[in-house]
Amino acid sequence: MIFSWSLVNKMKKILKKILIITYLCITFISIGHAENTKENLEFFSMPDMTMAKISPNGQYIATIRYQKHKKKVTLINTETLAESLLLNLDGFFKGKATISQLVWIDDQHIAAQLIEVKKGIEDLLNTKKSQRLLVIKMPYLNEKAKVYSVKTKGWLVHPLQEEAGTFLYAKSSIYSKIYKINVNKLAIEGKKLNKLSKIDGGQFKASNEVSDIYGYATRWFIDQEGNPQAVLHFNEKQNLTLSKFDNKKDVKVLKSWPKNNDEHEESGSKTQVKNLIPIEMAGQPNSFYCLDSSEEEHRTVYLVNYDTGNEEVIYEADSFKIIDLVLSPDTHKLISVKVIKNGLIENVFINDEQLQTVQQRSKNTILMSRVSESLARDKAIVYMESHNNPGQFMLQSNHQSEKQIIGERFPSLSNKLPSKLIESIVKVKGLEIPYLLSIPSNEVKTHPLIVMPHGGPVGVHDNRYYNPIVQYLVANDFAVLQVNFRGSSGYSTKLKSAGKNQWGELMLEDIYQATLSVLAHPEIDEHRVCSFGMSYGGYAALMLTLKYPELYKCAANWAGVTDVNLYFQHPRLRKAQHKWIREHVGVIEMESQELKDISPVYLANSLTTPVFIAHGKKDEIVDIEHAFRLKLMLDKFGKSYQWYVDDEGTHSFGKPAQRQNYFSKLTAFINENIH
Amino acid sequence: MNFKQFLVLIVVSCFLSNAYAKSKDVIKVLNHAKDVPELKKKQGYLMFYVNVDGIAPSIQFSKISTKKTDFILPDERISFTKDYFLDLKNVTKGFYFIPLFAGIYQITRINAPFYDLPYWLPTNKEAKWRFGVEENSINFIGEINIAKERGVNVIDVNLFNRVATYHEQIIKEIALMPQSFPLKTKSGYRDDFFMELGK
Repeated sequence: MIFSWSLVNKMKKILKKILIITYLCITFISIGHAENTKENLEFFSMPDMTMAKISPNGQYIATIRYQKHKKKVTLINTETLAESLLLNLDGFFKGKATISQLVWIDDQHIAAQLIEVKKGIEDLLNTKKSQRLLVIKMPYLNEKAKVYSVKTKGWLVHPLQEEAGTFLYAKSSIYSKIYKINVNKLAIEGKKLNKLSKIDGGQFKASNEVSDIYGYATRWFIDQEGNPQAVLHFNEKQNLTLSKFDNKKDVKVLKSWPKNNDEHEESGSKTQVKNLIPIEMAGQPNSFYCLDSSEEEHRTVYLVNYDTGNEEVIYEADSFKIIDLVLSPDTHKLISVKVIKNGLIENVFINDEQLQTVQQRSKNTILMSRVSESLARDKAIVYMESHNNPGQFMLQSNHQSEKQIIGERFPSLSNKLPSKLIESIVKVKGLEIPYLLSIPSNEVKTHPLIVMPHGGPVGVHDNRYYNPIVQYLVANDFAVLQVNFRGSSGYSTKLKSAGKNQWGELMLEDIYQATLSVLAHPEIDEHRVCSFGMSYGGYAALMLTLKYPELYKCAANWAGVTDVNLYFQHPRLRKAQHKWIREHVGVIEMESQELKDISPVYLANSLTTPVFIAHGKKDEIVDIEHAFRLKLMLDKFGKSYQWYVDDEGTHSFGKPAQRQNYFSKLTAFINENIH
Repeated sequence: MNFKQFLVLIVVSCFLSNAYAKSKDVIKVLNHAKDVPELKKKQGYLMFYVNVDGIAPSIQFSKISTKKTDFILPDERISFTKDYFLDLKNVTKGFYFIPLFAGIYQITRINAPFYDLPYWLPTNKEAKWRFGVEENSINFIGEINIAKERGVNVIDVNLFNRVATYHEQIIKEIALMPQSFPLKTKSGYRDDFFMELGK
């Protein structure tokens, strides 16, 4: 018995030791794992502060924040910088709803225009949108904020800041009208109306009408004082029309667009013409900021004078589709564009310099944009961003020399991105090809290089500001090369037009030459180079390793085109896109063998380097068939590859969790193969 | 036969020949791999993946007057000889087969009604809505996709060329057929992928 007890005690001790060791192991493993994914989580999470607007009297700043998985509106006192929660927006959102506008109506009321794109068909104008306007009243002391809502379908067109408690609201139907609405007559959100109450206080009546037009209005153009100056609407023949109000009664048609205006008969052949649709009124008479509806994707902002016919490009977005423009209310200067980024509407801020012509631009690497200011202009919100600063909102006051940070897009990355950005050019066949080289700033002598061609490929470019993918790779000790090869926008017409018919030819040559050029840099390890890209970038990444395997030791693509013929026969391509492709890419006219010669699928047998193929199952731009075709061909020739399909993936890197998952796999693949 | 009788005969003949020159709509039935009917002379199996949604989707297609079975060049004029109607109401996702005479066919119209709204899309000119059928072969043409969601005057319908995406399932599916035939892919445009894969 004694022997047995001592054995039991020994066993207990051993078991205890095992448990302690197991516990410690698990703890260390999970800490290690958390450390591994921490950086990834920080780079690919939702941005925290996305908008900040100062009140007319300059006392408060209303912000939109995303914290702990909750969207909220907060208030910051401009004197103390103390922040308080104004409204938790989660109860007001369903599905993919987002705030498209945050406007101070007066010093006591903030309007938030919510917009929800309901499930519809991507890229179509009539995809169902649901809009709601909430008006939040500033609370007294410890009270809760009162929230009013407008039930009548429409949208806020002017805050009438100088008339407290009122705003202009547009309602469209066969006759479209603008009404002046009093906040105090609106019902409290969520409160049921009794039988005697009228919807929205019965304010949508003739006595509140400010302006009207025959036909369905899509945009109203209002001056700073709240007077309607012009309207974009459909006339009785269903033609989109821009009408100008000469005085309150007279309406003059400035421009009308006939139906199906996306093609133009000229000498018997159909050629693409620009279709410049006004989005916002510019500061000069009859001038408007416009988007070209015939553009493959809206990435270019034009300034058009419909009287003189003058038009000029004033801004080119890097890669995302522009859906709206935001102007400074007083100067009517463009301060940001709203784009669809990873399925969400985001503001991309613009500085004055970006609005200058390409030749006038200097190489200022910091983006600074004045996004909101008080009526007296003594206080303003300034947005700042650079290659290693993901974005900060700052309060600028006439009374203080230094700007104060009031919020950041990614606070966890603040001052944690030590990297250098080198901008340079390489001459290829007589053309200057700009490139951006990002290098980690640490004590490591040389860094492996990832060559990251952009998608598009025409009319898209990589800019010098914050790019989460680049900074994530740099934080993982890679140098990253982004080449604005021929066809890229953002630099010169010459560079952009040189991309015509160069899909599998000189575009790739430009990237190759730029790579050779940066290999001479002492901090780049010339023996460790890998290519990675998405869409056309994914295609280019594969083609580079196929053409130059001695240089590009591995390649990774996401949503990459692998069969050029298949891509240009995509059933979702519209007629206008087919024309654009014929004009800019030219491959539709190519012979079958020529198409095969520039398609990775038909070159699979010659692949000698490891590749990582990744694709989203719900990609509507580059069908998942591209990934499977390459997979089958690689299987046929017994080539090794890494494979990843995201069942929910679209033609973007997706939601934070999807991005985090993919980029963990990507870095693991590169680390394993870049030698 | 006097002249009057002769004239009547000519008129009646013209009328009849006109009326029967183009056969009336033929309603086609979908078959699963294991219950495909036997092929008649000069017939091949049309194989496709159905992924449709909505109230009562259907497609109409016509045989093009040509001896080709691959694809028609963009500048060639086309005329139709026979019309078909294919009801896709309540058809679940999966692979289906129809025996058809060898030739090239054009999907001419997609019907995707939504309650009392008669949504339909004319497709009678576009190569992307064509497919070929080769005699004594299984001719995979891709995925017919009709989405439930639609705009005010737009429907999202597609014929996706997806032989690689479904390759594994296609092989399993055709193994269930009572008789074996070679697998071909027959999109409305030149696509050498499957041929190159088989080389």
